[in-house]
Amino acid sequence: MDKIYLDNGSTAFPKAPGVGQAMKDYIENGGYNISRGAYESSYVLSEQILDAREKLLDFFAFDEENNVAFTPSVTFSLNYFIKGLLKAGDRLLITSMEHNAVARPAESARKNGIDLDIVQCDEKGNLDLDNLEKKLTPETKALVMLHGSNVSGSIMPAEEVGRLCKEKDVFFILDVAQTAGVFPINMKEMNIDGLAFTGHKGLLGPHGIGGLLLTHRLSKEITPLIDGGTGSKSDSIVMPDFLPDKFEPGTMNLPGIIGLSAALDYINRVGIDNIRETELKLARRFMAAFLDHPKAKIIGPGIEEKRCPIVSLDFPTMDNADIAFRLDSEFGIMTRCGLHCAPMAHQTLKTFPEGTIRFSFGHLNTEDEVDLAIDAINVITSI
Amino acid sequence: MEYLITFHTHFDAVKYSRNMKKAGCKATLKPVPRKLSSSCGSCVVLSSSEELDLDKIFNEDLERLYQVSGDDFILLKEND
Repeated sequence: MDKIYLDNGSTAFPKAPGVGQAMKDYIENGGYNISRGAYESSYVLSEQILDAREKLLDFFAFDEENNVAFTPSVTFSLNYFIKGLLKAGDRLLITSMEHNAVARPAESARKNGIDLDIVQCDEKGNLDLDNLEKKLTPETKALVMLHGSNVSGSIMPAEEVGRLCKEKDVFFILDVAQTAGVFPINMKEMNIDGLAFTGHKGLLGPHGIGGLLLTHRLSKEITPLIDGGTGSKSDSIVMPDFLPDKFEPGTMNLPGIIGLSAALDYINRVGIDNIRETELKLARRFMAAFLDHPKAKIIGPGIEEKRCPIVSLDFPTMDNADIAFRLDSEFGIMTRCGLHCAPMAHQTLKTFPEGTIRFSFGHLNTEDEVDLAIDAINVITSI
Repeated sequence: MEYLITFHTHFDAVKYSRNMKKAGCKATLKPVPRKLSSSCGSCVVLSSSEELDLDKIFNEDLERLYQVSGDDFILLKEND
C-alpha cells in the first residue's frame, strides 16, 4: 500500500533534497567541532556555520548579525525567552491558542511568581486585536504568541500585534514553528523582539535543530538557562554575556545546522511563495470536501480565510482515534489525532478533550493524495 | 608586515577572516599565541607587503590589534 504523509505539522517529510546528503558528508568526511580545536579543517567548518547564521538572518530579515543562536528546538528557544526573561512579579501575556511549548513554560513561570494572563481567541482560533490591546497593560513585560496554530491553522496578525507591542513598549516574542518556510516573516517590519524557530517543520530540515533570533534590547534582559563551555572566555567560569555564545553552551548539533543550511538553500531556490501557494491550494481542496459533510466538521478558520495549510476535522458521532487508525491501516494515510500538545487551543476551539484529526499538507503532497484522503474518509464514515 | 587581531568570540574571528579575504587581504585564522590572552582562542593574522591602514582593519567590535615583530607582539589598538 502506498503511504500518504499528511502530518507535516509534526515534522516535514520528505526533508528538502540535499539535507541528508549534506549531513552524511559532514559526518563521514570531516565531522569536527568548531570553536575548540585550532586547525584549518575546523576553521573551514566554522565558516559553514557562519553561512548558516547569515542565511537565517536574511531569511527572517533581521540585521543584528550576532544575534542568532542555535538551540536544540523551538521549545528550548521559547523556554529561554519565557523562563530566561521573566522574573517573579513580571507580567506575561500569551494567547489561548498556544502550544505547550509556550503554555508549559508559562505555567511553570507562573508557579514561580510571574503574573500570567491569557488573551482569549474566538472559536475559530482567531485573535481579536481590540481584546489584545486591552490586555497589553503598562505592567506587561512580554507577549509570547504563536504565529500559526498547529491545530486549526489559524494565523495571528503578527504585523499588527508587533505594532501594538512596540507602541506599548512590550517585548514581542513570536513562535514561528508552523509558519517559518511557508509565510514570509520579516522581523523588522513585524517589530519582533524575539523569534523562536524550529528546523524540522516548514524549514524542511532535520530534527534536533532550532534557534532564536533576538534584538540586543531583549537579549540584555535574558539570563541564560543553561551554562557550559562555549570555546570563548575559557579563562572564566562565568557564562559569556555576548552573542551568540550566551545561548550556545556545549557542542552544538553541527550536523543539524549543516542540514538546515541545505534546507534553507532549497527553500530559497523553490521560493517561499510557491511553497505556500501549493500547500494552501491542497488544504483548500481538502476543506472543500467537508464544508457540508454529514459526519465531519472543519475546526478553525473557513476556506476563504487567511490560514496555514493545516486542517483539523472533528467527527462528533464517531471516534476520531478509530478513524485516524483506519486511515493509516486501511489506506496508508498518516495524520495526527488527539490534542496535538495544545490543550489550550482545543479548549478555545471547543474540541477538548476529544481533540481532532489533523491533516497538515506539504508542498510535495499532490492533488491525487488529497483526493485519496477525502475518499478514504468517506469510506470510513460510510458516505 | 604582519598584524594579529584578537576577538571576543570565535564567531567574530571567523566573520572577520572571511571579510578580510573577500577584501583581498591575506588572512589566516590560527590559535592565539600563549603570550597573549584573549576571550576567544582564535585570532587572525593579516600578512601584507606594506603597512595597513589601522582604521580599516580594526573597529570597535574587535578585541585587540598587534603588530607582529618576530616572537613579540606590539599592542597597537584595543577595545574594552
